[in-house]
Order: sequence, then C-alpha cells, then structure tokens
Amino acid sequence: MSEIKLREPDDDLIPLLRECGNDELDNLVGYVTQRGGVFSQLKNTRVYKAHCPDHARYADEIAAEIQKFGGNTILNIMRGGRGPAYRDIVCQVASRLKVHFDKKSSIEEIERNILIKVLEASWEKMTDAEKQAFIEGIMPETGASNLPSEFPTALLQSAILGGSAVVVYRISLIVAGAIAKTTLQQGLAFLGGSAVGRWAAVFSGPVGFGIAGLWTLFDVMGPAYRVLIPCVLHIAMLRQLHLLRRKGIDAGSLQEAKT
Amino acid sequence: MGFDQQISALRRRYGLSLAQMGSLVGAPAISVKRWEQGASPREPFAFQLHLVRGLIESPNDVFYDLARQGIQLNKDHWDGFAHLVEAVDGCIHVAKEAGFESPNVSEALVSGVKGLLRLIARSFAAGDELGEKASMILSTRIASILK
Repeated sequence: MSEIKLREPDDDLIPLLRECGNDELDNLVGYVTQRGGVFSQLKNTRVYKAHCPDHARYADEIAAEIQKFGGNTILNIMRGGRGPAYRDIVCQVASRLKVHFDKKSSIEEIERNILIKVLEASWEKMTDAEKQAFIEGIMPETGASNLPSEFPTALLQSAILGGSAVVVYRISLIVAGAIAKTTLQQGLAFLGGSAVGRWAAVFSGPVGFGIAGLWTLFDVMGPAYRVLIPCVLHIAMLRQLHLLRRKGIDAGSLQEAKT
Repeated sequence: MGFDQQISALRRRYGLSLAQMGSLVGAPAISVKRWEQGASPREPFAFQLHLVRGLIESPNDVFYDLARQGIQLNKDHWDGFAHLVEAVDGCIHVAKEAGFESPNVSEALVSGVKGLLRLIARSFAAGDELGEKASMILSTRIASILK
C-alpha cells in the first residue's frame, strides 16, 4: 500500500510507472523532489529513505505524488486526500499550454499534441542547421530538402498518421531530453551516454529555449505546473518507449541507426 | 456521507460543542446547527469546513499539499500543532481500546487546528505566491477565525 494516498485505479499512469525501471523513473523522481527537504512528501516516505535510488520499489508513491501535484489542497481533501486522475492532469496541462485537443481523445493523442506544441514553440529558436537536423532526425525518410520557414505541423501530423510510432517516440525523446536538461541540468538517465542520448541532446539547447519561453508565454507560473509539465512530457516519452517495446521494436538500436 | 453527516460525525467523535465547531470556521453555533440539519453552508464556509476536516484527519497531507502549491511552512512549527491534533486521535483510540470513557479532548483539538490555521493564514498574509491566487474568501474566513 502506497505511503502517499494513491488514486486507484488510474490506468493511464499507475501500470506504466510500475513497468518502468529505475533509470526510466529517475528523471521523474528528480522533478517531484526538486523542491526537496521537508517539502517533498516522496523524500519523506519510509520506502524512499530505505531504497533510494531503487525507484521501482516506490513507483506507486511516485504516481501518488504526481496525482497530488494535479490537485489543490481543498480538492484533494474533498477527494479523501487523493489527487485527480492522471488523464485530468494531462488535460489540465494541455489547456494551460493552449493545446487544441478533444477531451475524448486517447491519452496518447493528447500527449502527442502537447509534445508538438512544445516543439512548435521551439522552432523559431532553432538555427537553420538545427531545423534541418531536426527534420532529418525525426523523419529521415522525408528528405526535407526545402526547409520550411513555419513549424511543419502538417508534415509531422502526416508522418504520425502514416502509422509511424517511431516518429512520435523520436519527438518525445527530444522534448523529454530538453526538459530534463532545462529543469534538472541533466540528460535522460535511462539513455546514459548512448548514441541515442547524444542524438537527443543535440536538440536540448533550442528546444530548451522554447520550453523556457513556454513558462512565460503561457504564464505557467504556478509552482505545481513547474513540476507537472516536466512530468507529463517525461511520461509521454515513457509511454511511447513502452509502446515500441510491446511492438518488439528496440528503441535504442533504432535511434542509433539514424545517427 | 453528506456534509451534514460529516459535520456531526466530527463533532461527535471529538466531543466538540456547536460553538467550538463554529469557532473553527468563523461561524456562530446556530449556523453549525443548521448545517447539521441539512442546510448547505455557503461556499467559503464549505471550503473552510473541508480544510478543517483535512487538518483533523491528516495534517501531514495538508502540509505537503500546501507545499506543492507553493506555500512552504515551517515544518517544526507545523508538527508542533499537528502532533497535538494527532495525539487527540491517539488518545481517543487508546481510551476506546482500554474501555475507558471518552476523554475530554475538544479543547486540545481546537487549539491544535487553530494553530495550524494560523500558520496557513500567516503565509497568506505574507503575500505568498498561492496566497495571491487562492480564494480571497478563504483567506478572509481564516482571518476572521483568528480575530
């Protein structure tokens, strides 16, 4: 039983986090504990104190802490001390970032729209060389010789709709890597120093600038959003990673082949 | 459980008088009586009642929820009052197990909850980030209790 009150079931969050390894959870733990000290409930649980950095041992506590970041004090009390469902949190973040989405859409689709919105905000911060590298890295098969001046939303959407789960994973990897760099000053722990990690890191600068712009552009000043948005972006990436794994695709070698 | 039942259950468990319950939410005893009879409290009182319930049932959870929203209170100060509230529960539990009559703990509970409310109210007064954004009505209610 979770030491932090967990809202169960929450099919969009709990099963995914329970599947994750320590390295995959590491950035999430960083986001929710960044305030640290006596103010981090996770850090003050017995299971964390006993097992950190074996994060998989307290995946439920991580999920509960993220849920609680999605609610406010009074509403959490009204829910018996629990936060809202993860889907509501994703919708809340999407609304805050002015992402167009249908509340009835799948969680993957809403997360995808958020990822694209973040990239869109980063596009104008990129140099032409970075834009070129981005297009070629995300969709090598398109061979985008004419660099679009506007963010290529339609190109990305058509690549995604073309059934390429790999495209979404690459996008999520870039965004999650950039938010990790911006927020925690580190890369994605589960990639380590791999070629995939180096590939994603190329974009951490310009996308990071875009993310920094989001904070001010959309007035995302609330302390909870400073934690929730990185968590949502990281979880979107984890979901894509695990989807690829379920399809038998080795995400690591797949990316290394593109570098 | 409806709001009316929640209020009367709290009062019964801790032996709180109507006036003591009212003092925690800045309302007269007669209002508490009406709420227990099924009248709906106005929104600010309803929020305050939920906050008081949260502080009684799980002060630790409220501390961390406030921290997540940017209200970072002194943990030692918080624990001082929170332990008083938790001790009240412990005392009731032990008395029940030992077959003693229910102890008179209402004053201790009121002191503990008011201490926690005062710590929260002070952070509102300090112009905390959330304090500015949070419902002005709620902070007014807290302040009215502390007059």
